[in-house]
Amino acid sequence: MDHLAVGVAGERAALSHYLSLGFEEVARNWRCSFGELDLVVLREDLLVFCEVKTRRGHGLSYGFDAVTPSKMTKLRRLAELFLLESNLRPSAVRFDVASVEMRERPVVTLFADAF
Amino acid sequence: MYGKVTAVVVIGVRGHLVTVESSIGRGLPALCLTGLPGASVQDARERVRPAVESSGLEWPLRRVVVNLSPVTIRKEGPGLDLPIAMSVLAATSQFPTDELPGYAFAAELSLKGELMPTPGILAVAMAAKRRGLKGVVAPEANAAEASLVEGLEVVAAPSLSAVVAFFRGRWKPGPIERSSPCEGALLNAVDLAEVRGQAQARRALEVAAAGGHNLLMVGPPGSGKTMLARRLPTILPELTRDEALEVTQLHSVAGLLDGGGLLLARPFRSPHHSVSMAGLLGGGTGLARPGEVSLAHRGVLFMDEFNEFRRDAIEGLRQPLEEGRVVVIRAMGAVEFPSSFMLVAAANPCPCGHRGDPGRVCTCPENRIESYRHKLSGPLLDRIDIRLSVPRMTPAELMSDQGAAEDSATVRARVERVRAVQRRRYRELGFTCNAQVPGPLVRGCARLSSEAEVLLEAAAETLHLSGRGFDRVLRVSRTIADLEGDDRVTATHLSEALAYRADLENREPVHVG
Repeated sequence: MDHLAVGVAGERAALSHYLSLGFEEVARNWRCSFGELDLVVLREDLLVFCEVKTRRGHGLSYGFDAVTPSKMTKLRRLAELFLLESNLRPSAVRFDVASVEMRERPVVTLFADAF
Repeated sequence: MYGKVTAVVVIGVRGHLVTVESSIGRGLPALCLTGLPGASVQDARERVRPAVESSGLEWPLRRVVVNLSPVTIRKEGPGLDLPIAMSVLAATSQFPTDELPGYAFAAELSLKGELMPTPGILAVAMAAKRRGLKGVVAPEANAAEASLVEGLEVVAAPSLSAVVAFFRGRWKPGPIERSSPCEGALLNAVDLAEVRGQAQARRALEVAAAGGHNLLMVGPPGSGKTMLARRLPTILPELTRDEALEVTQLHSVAGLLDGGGLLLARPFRSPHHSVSMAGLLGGGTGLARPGEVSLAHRGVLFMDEFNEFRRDAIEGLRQPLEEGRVVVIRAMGAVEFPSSFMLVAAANPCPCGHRGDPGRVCTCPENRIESYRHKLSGPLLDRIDIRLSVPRMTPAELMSDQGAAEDSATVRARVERVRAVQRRRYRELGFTCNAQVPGPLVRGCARLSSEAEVLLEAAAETLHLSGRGFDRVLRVSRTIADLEGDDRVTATHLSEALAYRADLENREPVHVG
């Protein structure tokens, strides 16, 4: 598995985690000139933007370590752009970080309302 | 997900209770410290998590907010590591918290989760006792000082895991080895009996100790000034328990207590003349540390090469000498340290040190001697009652066997008797010794005999005694009379006191003895 495939597998694992929590998929890998949102999911009128960080094997680091303050700022701006473009008008918006460890089966740790 | 633990922050020498709250909530895993933590407490953020994890406990993978209350005081010092760790562990319910409110916590943590020796534990224990807590949790290395506070349970633990096991009811601290209260004399490595000759200086030392007078010794290098000063604490009265606690507390805050318990010997501090203002009077960045004047509290501050000290450092001695305390002003407020000490200053008679020495020739130019002496004069000298010339001993004097000199214990017994007389005399005035009596009162207290009155009048005339010089002579003669057991100051007492005023303004040093 090359690193792109690992990323895609991680995002799939994160999505199925959200689906099991009763969310529905709004967008996956939404792109604009600023960058990319990994996952956007919706439950009732709560819209969640999720940054997925995937790590191979039993690493010592957690994926969330890669989410730096500058990355957080960037994700907020991307979310604004996404809301401008879409016709969704959710009453609440949340940013999550999903840390996915690829073992025999992917293990998803969800940091809800991360920032 | 909430936990609350009591910690103690030491400001000056006083402990202040601080509540350490933890809340565990949503967000990326992080430890956020609020409530005016100083730089040394911010440090704890990186230390606490590894300490918890290597103790076999769990650090929550959540956003942890730790608040230090009250937020009005800046928290400094490493003692907050343990309370922060315990409050996070309490918030995550990793041990039963029913017993938690009765204890105060203070200890620095290592990355392995050990409790490291922490300064100021005695002040912590005293604060816990004052606020009616049941016990204190402290590092094993500080057990002896914590146990000095009566009626307080001391949980002296080696590690964080032991502290948690204690609250889980699976570990009990071992009995604390109290350092045996030894005789004060045994703690002093030196004795007055070791001083050869110098009968005049020995006597002056005894008078100084008896009346609590500050002392200036002027003499050539090698005449024994340092040796004499070093032995002054050994002839001072033994510390009372309360005094010993004050001394121990100051040394504990300075981190100078080597695991021992109560300090019983009077301190002797001899700072080098290059000492900074902060080093001498207290201060430093962040946590204000007691300076040399406070480490010498209830003991002796010896300043060798007195006129080599910085002018502002010498001027800074005025507050501690007058008030027995020193106030260090910081941006965050004033910190006060007790500093009641006997000052012993020593100086050479001139820059080369040989002026007035019969066996040597002084090579200093007149103008240099002038400026050298000029540094000695000034308002501080007014606080020094006894000024003594210490001549160099001749080889013959050093070799001669004059029989065993009196040892410190014998002299101390006399000093203690005289101190008791003074305490009784000044009971209503609130002084403890002759040196504390201010000028206007000393004339009433001295009780001169009629011949002494006549002599004093003559001396004031011929020696050009200033008003303050006059009071100094009276104070010292009162002490001499007390030493002799006389109610009245006689002409003999007065003439001895007049001899203890080596005149530094004078070109020719006055020779004594």
